[in-house]
Amino acid sequence: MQIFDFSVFSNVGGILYILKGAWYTLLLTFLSIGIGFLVGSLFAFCEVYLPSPFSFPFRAIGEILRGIPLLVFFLLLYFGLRLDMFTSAILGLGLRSAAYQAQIFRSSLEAINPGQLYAALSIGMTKFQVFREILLPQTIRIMIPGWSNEFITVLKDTSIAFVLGFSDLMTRADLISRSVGRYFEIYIFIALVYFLLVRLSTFALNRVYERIRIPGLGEKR
Amino acid sequence: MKEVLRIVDLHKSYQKVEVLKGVNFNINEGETKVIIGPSGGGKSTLLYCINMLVKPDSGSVILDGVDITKERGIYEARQKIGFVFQHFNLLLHLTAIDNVRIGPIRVKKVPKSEATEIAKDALKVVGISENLWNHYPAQLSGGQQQRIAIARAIAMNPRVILFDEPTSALDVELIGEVLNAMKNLALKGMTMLVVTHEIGFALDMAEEILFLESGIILEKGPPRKILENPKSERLQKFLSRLNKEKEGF
Repeated sequence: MQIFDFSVFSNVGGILYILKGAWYTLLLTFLSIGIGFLVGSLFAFCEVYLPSPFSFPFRAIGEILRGIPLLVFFLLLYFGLRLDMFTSAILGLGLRSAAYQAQIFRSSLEAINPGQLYAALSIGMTKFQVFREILLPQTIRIMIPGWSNEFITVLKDTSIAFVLGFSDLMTRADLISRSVGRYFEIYIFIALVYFLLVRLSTFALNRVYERIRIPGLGEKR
Repeated sequence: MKEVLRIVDLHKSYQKVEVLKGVNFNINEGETKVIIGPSGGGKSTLLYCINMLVKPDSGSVILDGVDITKERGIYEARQKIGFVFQHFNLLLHLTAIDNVRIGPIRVKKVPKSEATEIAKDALKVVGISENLWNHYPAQLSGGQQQRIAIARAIAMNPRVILFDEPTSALDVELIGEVLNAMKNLALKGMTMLVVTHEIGFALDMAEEILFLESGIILEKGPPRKILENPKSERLQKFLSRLNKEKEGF
């Protein structure tokens, strides 16, 4: 028996079937990242700006979401709350990502030196203007590298939605490998597909970062 | 001479430490006054209380006859009080010229073309040449950043500019360019209140020196009188320490 049997890839129909799963992987990634972004920025905002008794629940929920394995969280949503497969997958990935994105926003928001905020107030800006003109544009610039990591984490972790039977790359690969009876080749194949998707995303996000980064700050010397 | 700013019995405590214990002075149009005093004496707190970045506990800050501590719209008053910080505090995501014109555009709602002209004039006053206008703060020297920060204050056309140790975060060779920009500004008739230990600047430009010690103005008067003939023992000690530092002991 060969270690690597290329003939597996002559099953074009099967390979195409797996590749179509990439769309579902990407769909799941973008929806989860989107939910994570909205909920995460809300959480970060509440953690930073609400007085401590009110910010506590947001901190606590974040701690819990970051403290549970994703797989367990999926199963809790699916079997515990009896949500359907798709909702469990999106909520699981989205809410966990929200907890991490909140940390990225919070640390970026707090990385801005308060001197700049004083300066903006000193020329007569209102607090809202300070937020819009300084905090927001600088936070976005600072957070992109950390946020890129979160993006590729979510992209790869969509594969865990396999336990729910969500029809993504991983689930389809599993199905095909069972039917042809070869696992190694198919898993190497989807590892490559995941790797390419990750490279593509990092490339795109780095381009965005280079475009909007603040010139002269944090440059390699 | 018209009075621009009057500080009346200003008090401020942080927790249990009383930093300002009743500060009184005034400053007239076109005057430059210099505040000296040991660190921890309340100099920065005094300046921050004047434009209400720190809220004073009691007392009044009267700007052109209006007590701004009692006003609800502090944002209006701050437009008339320029502030130059020890660490420049330029907005890092904006170019030099954007740092200067953001105030006129966003706060005063001046049209962009007009704001650009105001910014260019202000940058010329502080000697920032045109090739630097599109540089970002991180690409500029400390001296250049501080002069741009001064231009930012000028562009708002304030009634008075407060300077909080504007040269103390700078390398020695960069101090001169900032002091020159400030002299230039004083000669143009700007009303200035300057916390600094640059005694040469005080001698040349100040109408009066205020010695702030332990939260009160212990002594004040014309520069020569204060520097050459200090009355209180504490001012004598402070000046001799300052001289030793300058001579490098």
